[in-house]
Amino acid sequence: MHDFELHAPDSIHEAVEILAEHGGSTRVLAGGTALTTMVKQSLVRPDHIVSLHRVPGWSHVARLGPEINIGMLATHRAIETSPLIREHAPLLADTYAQVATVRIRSMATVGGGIAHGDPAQDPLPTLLALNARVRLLSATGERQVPVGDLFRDFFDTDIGPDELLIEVQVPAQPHDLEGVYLKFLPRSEDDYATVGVAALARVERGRFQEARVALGAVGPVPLRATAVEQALQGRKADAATVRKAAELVGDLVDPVDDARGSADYKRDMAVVFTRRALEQVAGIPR
Amino acid sequence: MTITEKPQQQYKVIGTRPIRHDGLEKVTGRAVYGADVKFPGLLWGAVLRSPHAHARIKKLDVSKAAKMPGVFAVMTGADLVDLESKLVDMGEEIDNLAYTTKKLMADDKVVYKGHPVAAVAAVDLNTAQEALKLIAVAYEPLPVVLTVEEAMAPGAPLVLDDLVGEHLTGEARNTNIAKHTRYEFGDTAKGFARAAVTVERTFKLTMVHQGYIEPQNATAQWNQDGKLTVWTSTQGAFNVRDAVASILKMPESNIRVIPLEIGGGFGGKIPIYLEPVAAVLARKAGRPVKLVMDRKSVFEATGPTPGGTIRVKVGADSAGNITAAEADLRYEAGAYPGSPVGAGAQCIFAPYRLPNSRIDAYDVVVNKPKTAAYRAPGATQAAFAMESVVDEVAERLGIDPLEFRLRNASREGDRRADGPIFPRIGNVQVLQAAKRSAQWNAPLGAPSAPHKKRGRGVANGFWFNGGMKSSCNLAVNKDGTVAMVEGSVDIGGTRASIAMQAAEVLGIPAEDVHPTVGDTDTVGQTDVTGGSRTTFATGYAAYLAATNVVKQMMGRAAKLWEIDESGIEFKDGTFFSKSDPELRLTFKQVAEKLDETGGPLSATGTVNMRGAGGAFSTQIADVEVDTETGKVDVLRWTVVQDVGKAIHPAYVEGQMQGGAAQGIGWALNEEYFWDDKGNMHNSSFLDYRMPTALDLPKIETVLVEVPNPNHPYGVRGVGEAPIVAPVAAIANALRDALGTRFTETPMKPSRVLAAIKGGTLDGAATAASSNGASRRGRR
Repeated sequence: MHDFELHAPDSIHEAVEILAEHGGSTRVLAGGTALTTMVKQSLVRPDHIVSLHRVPGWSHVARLGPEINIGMLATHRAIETSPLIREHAPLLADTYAQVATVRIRSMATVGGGIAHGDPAQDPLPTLLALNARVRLLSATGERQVPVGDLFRDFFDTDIGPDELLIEVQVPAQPHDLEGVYLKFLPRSEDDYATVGVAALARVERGRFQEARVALGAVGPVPLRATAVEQALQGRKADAATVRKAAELVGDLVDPVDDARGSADYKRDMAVVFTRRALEQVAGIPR
Repeated sequence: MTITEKPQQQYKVIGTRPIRHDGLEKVTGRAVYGADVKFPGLLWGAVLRSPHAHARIKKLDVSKAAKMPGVFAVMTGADLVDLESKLVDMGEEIDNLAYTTKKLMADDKVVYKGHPVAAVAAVDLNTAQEALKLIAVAYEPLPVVLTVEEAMAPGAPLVLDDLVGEHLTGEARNTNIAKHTRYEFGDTAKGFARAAVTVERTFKLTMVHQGYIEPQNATAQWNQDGKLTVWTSTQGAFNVRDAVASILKMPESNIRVIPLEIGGGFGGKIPIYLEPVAAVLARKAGRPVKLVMDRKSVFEATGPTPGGTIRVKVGADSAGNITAAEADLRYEAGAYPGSPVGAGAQCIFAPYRLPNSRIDAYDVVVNKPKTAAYRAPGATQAAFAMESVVDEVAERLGIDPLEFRLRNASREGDRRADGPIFPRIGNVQVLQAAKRSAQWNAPLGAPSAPHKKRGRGVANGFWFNGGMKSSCNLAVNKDGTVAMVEGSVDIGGTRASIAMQAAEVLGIPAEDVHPTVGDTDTVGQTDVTGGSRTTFATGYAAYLAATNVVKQMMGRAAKLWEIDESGIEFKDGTFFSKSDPELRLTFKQVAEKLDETGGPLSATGTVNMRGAGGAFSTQIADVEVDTETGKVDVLRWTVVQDVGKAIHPAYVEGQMQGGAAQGIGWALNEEYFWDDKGNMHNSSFLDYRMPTALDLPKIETVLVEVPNPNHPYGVRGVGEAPIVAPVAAIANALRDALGTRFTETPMKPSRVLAAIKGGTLDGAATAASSNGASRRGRR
């Protein structure tokens, strides 16, 4: 394990000052479920680690306007069990409830799970489909970035070396927009997803008035399947339409061969699970 | 559920379910494991491992590492003396010392990825790991052989230049076949000629790991008098002691091995990996040294169970009697000889009475880690092949699979295909109990969705179990409790199962026997906790010691009553005079008077057991297959097993459930994911998935008690037999669900889906002659 200097700031402002000073060789530690393993295995070798354990607050879950504001330090478990989230973004609660095991969910934070940049994290497709944004703070100011613009490659995000992801803003899920997150686990129930699909749809008079689809774990970044959404828009909500639209996913995804399956197999599974998710939100019987 | 063959003897302790003696320590986290060992001045060791699966070491320079601040010692293969070829019995496996030394640290050639090349001891782990980076190694990569087919091909690169193979024709050189064994009885050609149905198939298996949670570890300390103490996680402290003594060329009595609690072994903690390395580093450094493996090293460089290729051919006449059977087993030994192919060959036909049989077994070296024992080593692979073919023969004859197995079941007095005559066994009773089981008689039920299919499979499995040496000391306390020191490392609740046998003899509660696992200086020679032998053999030693205690206590009672010992009887924990009903003393009352009747009272029991009595485990699998993804869900599972006599039924059930769970993982998920250079690409628990409680149903158990006549309570080993049948049971269930015969492990979703879509994999096309629906008619 590489030697590093541990910083424990008392506020987010102190934290971003440290980031400004040490920049690229710094990693931020929140729940630690990913970073500690990566450091131990020398997958990352930071010279500085900024631990947020002394930062007060920033674990809030609140609704201040049309959006839900989630502090970076809120745990997955807090989202899963929050009555506010359950009421205004039930898909978010359902998704966070599916991450790993309760032991992980009690430690892992919302901010860390996004900033980690791992395309297999379950919440990412759902945050994409809900049009969420993140607030990034640096010593020189703040900016907001849509989650859809955040990811560049495997474990690579648009978050600058001097920036801290402090909050996630999620537009409330309209009550008539049905949502589901499905994940495929070919091996064991506590594994990382081989395919994750978030789908939202509103069907009126038998037609798709709105459809949103996003996928995780099937490429270097989580992706919004806009081609699928367009293929559904205004179309009849039946099995044939959904099947045809889901097929488009095969060309959008870019999975890798690994112990969870070959790229071809994962591509096929992305189609299957997209179809299943859409059938479920559109209420199409099988 | 428990089915007992004859009216049960009345026991007070045996057959009850007391809380295990070590339970509180373990659930509160106080139990001490190898990684917990700490001393003042303790150094940490780290091992440099080969990045190549096969390469010659052209240069090895440790000078920079040795000079690094904080480094106290560096060692290489040159620090271990080359030993003559000598076989040592490690319990459930035999090791050749010449190869053990090379396995511990390479000489001029590395033969598997992860092979130790050098080691460092430093002030802390981080310094030791950084020092490894200063060691310069120049490798010349050599061509690798990764499968038995590659290794056995003419002109294959040699894994070991000096290997002398034991072939049927005599000694052979320039070969990767370390051993070829043949067992032959009758005339298989004639037998097959009489068969109405003959099925022949070839099966392929991948390497899998035991997956124990606790990594290997060892701490070594030298005393001023030249004696060595080793703390380690092992299944057998005495075997470690003897092996370390041979490797370091010192008297075994100068080594004390203290076994700590063990976080799982399953056979994988019989071999030694770190103990001599820690000892050499500690001697060089003049300070104690501790080594703990990381998970990657556990996967890459300890002993998994082999993959390989097995061909089985079975013929039966139209009445459903097997006329002949042939098997050809080729197992990957890993980089050094010694796969469990011998055990596979001995077990493969054991459930059947065969008039004509032939078995060929090949132990083949490949550039993979040296395999080790894994729960009924070699038998699961063999049963996958045999039980799949047997199922197909039964299917073609239109006979119920359990009925077919019963018709051909081996019984007491039958000859096993590798020679031995079966003693009293419970094969038939187990198969009959399986037929009567709740699951076998319950409907499979309709699939939970239109794109899903259900199937039911059954398979039988045999493991012979072990005997070997065990020791146990008992000392009576004046409060009527008994201190026990026994030599078997506790796996699966053996402290309890051994203590309960002593308690039964002594007529006291299980809680009043206080068991401690001894070390090599505190108890007599005891072989490994392995071979499902511990409750049988160490339990027998405890029985003998307790019987001796009773005899001595009787003498003490005689003294108190001033009568002759022959006038005293002992029953239900009470000594009483045969002639005077007034004279009665409980065990506790006699204990209270020890000081007045001669002082301390202790006894020892030692055994060198044979006649372990094999065990059969028949398992029933109900599965549901998602035909769009290939994912297989286990809906229901029953293990029916001959357990001899269940000393502690809860732990017996736990063994049966645990064996089934590991077998299900082997069948559906687990595999070493190799590239063509011999690199494992999933050497973490994140990427090597084993089933969790969330993935399995409650595994139902039926305990069939056919007592072993060679044990006072009828104990048979129970730990290993339950992992033998599951892989075949899953394959047979998939055949029932999909009409496809799977001949390759693991039966993972992508493989199952490919078979559903195209029938292109695993000989599926040739097997798809009948569908599941017609077979389901039998229920």
